Amino acid sequence: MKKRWSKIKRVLLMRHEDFNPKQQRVFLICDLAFIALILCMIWIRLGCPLPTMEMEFRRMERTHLLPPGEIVLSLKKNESISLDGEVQVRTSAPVIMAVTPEEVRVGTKRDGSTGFYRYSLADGPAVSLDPSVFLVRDRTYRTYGVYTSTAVLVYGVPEEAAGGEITLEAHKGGPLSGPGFRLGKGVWLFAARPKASYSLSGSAPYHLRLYRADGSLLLEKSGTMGETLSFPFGGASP
Amino acid sequence: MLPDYRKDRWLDTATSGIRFYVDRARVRKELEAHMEDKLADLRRVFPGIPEGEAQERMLAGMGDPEEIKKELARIHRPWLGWLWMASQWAVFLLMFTLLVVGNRNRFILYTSFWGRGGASFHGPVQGGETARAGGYTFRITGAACLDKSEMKGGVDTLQVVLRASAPRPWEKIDVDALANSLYVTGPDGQRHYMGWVLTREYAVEDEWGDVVESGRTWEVSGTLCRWGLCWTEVALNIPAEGWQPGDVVKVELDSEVGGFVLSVPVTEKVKVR
Repeated sequence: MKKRWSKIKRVLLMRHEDFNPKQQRVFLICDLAFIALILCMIWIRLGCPLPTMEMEFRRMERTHLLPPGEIVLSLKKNESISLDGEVQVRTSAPVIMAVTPEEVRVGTKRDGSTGFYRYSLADGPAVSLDPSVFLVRDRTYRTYGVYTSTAVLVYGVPEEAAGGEITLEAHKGGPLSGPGFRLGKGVWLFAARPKASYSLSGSAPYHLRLYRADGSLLLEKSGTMGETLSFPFGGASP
Repeated sequence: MLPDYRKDRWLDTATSGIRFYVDRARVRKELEAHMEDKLADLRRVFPGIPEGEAQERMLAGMGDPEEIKKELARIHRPWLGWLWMASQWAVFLLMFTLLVVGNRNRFILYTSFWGRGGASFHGPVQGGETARAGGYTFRITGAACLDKSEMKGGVDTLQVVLRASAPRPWEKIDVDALANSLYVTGPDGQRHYMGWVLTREYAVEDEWGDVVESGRTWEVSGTLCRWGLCWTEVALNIPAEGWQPGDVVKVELDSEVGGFVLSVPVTEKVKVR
């Protein structure tokens, strides 16, 4: 034991120039293996982030025992989109939306953690407030100049829909209502405009109306926003 | 007598092709030792040789420094040396970071690769049945009747531990999604859902009838038990009413990517606090 310790001590106290090339290589391999191990630990602790949002999304589908859905919308972080020249939206985090005949899946990545939300389409379109997508400009809407519109996402909108309107029951400050704009295949964004100062929860009641191109009513639905499938808390498990 | 700087100049020239300074110093030291040996040999063979001549012969014997420089530069690759130095710095920095971070979270090291969840593991099962679904391999690794202290109001439960082995370490199964797809059938034939169930909805109103606080209470029967680099285990609990040693418990997966039924006899009774 003493002999081994003296050997270790001798190696530890060696100056750089005392190492021969073979020893250098051995130590280099040991260092690299140690670095790889630590980096691997850190990567696992961070939730094993993958290079692209799409890869993350597909992984979430697999780990949630779901077959892959059809990706209908993929937005990068800080992406700005102008809708009909009237409303401009921006993303604060990357967002991916995929659909299957039964449900819509939304994947986002905020503060390093991935959120995975599922909304049922069994009873028609699903409605949610997603903090990753927000309105930055609502050109035609003018009120007291201080109350900004809220972006509401509606999934599973039929292809024949040409326009729509949503009304949200705010906790305080009366209802918010506004027009809808097509964001992607089956995904619409509604600019819910307030009339006064308001307080809106993510599970507020809504009333949605979708119209055909000729102005006739295509679909009418009432419900509660943000009703997710399978997860009571919406996000990923610990 | 030949001044010393001739020797130094020779050494400087011969080693100047080595770009990694550590290697350069080491080779210089070796060459210097070699020169000393040569001088000693000359003095031994020619005892009366003048110092200057001995040094001149020694340098002549060492060869052309420019040629040696080219050879040494070819042999010693600088990137390997720099990589070694960089790796040492990286190790030092990582150790320091871990020391700082580790003080806050001392479990950071081992919980990355393995760890334990809220449920404890009992009654190991060797070589249980396996099934595959969605790329994952499922196996029952534990089954026991948990005898909980009735003094503390505990109800005896049958616990089955299901392991889901992932194809890749970064694709470990989501525990909640797994629990939401699982059913356990007890010895009495009753089928129990293991996922999240809404148990209570509440709303607190103030004196004017406005809701000031509202919420929902959820409960789950399948909870995280243990995890490793490529696997996750969930503990599934059902009531143990009427259980007899050897009774079979069935675990059923019903998901969009497939399903299976695994069964295991529960023979062991474990006292838990």
